[in-house]
Amino acid sequence: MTVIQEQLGETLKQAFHGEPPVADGIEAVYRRAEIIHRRRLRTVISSGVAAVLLVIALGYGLTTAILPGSASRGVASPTAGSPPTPPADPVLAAVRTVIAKDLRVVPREPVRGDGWRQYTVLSRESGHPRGLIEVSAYAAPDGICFPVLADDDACARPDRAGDDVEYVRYADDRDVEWQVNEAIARRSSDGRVVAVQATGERGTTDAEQGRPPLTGPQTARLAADPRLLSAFGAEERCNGPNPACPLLSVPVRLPA
Amino acid sequence: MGKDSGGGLHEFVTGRYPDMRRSAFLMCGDWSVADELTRWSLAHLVAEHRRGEIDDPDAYAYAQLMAAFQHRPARREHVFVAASDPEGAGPDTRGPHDGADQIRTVLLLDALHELTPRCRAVMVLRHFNGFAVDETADVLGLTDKRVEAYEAAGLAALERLLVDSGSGGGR
Repeated sequence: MTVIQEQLGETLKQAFHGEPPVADGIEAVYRRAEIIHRRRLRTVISSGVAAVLLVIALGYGLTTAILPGSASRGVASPTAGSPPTPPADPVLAAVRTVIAKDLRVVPREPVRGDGWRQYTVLSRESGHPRGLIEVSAYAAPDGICFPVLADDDACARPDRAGDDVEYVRYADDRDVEWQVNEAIARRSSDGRVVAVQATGERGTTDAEQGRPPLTGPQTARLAADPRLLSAFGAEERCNGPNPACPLLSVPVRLPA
Repeated sequence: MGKDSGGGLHEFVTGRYPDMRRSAFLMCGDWSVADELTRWSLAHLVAEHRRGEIDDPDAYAYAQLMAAFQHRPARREHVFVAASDPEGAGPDTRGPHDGADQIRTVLLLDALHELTPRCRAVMVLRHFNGFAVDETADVLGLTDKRVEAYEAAGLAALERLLVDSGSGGGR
């Protein structure tokens, strides 16, 4: 053992000359231990609450992701102002892509027939009806004559939407009780024709309130939408005499 | 001390407080800091003991204490000075010192404070608290070899300083 080792312990002990008294040090230890204990308890409780909230959030998120339609299920009939149900109706899906954000579209009874569908439009805010949208399909493999309102014998020069679709749109607001926006579109590749007619709510006697739920451009865009043209079954058509098919303001003029 | 005995725990805390405070003082040279860190370490011991998670209270308490110094700023915090009034000594003071003893103590403490915190902790635990090498290693989380190396380096540094100051052989 070296000299320093021999001296070290004893010398260190001499360093405590002038050591202050312990005073309330022991009590302070226990007070501080209590603070630590409470802090840990709070941490545990906070962690537990956070974990529960996380589980709830995850559960809600997963449920929403897995069952996207769950929120709107079990609601009363559409005409009672309920949110639209998401049936496998590609026509309705296409209509919803163009409708204004403050409006809702729901199927209207009778909802559908061979070659046609109809939908009621409601105000999202008030739930009041805002009009009707009728969509009908036709087969015209040999082409059609787009009507001209002023001349029964003339054919309108259609606008084009892409390479495959041509369309013409019409508007009639002379009668405030039956204001109409209509568009007729034909897909050249298969001769499929679709007519979209949007009419305002009747009985308002007010031109503004009775205006159609689709504007002219919206009506045309919907009619020329390839999704809408493909939304009807291949054999669905309103070509023949069918009283259930929509009565159009401007009838589709098919070749004889 | 049993895990469940509150009385045993209180006895342990009461008994260890002065020794731990002195160890802390040797580590930092400041009685108020020593008090603070001793309370902090023993408070954690008490809190952990309530959860029944302490196997070796001594090792836990000293480990907490020495770890506290690892987290403190490395700057020199205090310069040891000889007590001016031997009559103000605490209960364990070993009577009045002669001048040579006081000087040697001051030199030794100052030299101790020149060491790195870990080396100083080894020196305090080994030569003041009387921990064995393996116990010191457990407290500080070191291997036995590292403890021995720190101790050798610390002793050499202290001896060199005392020899340089002319106090090394005096006694």
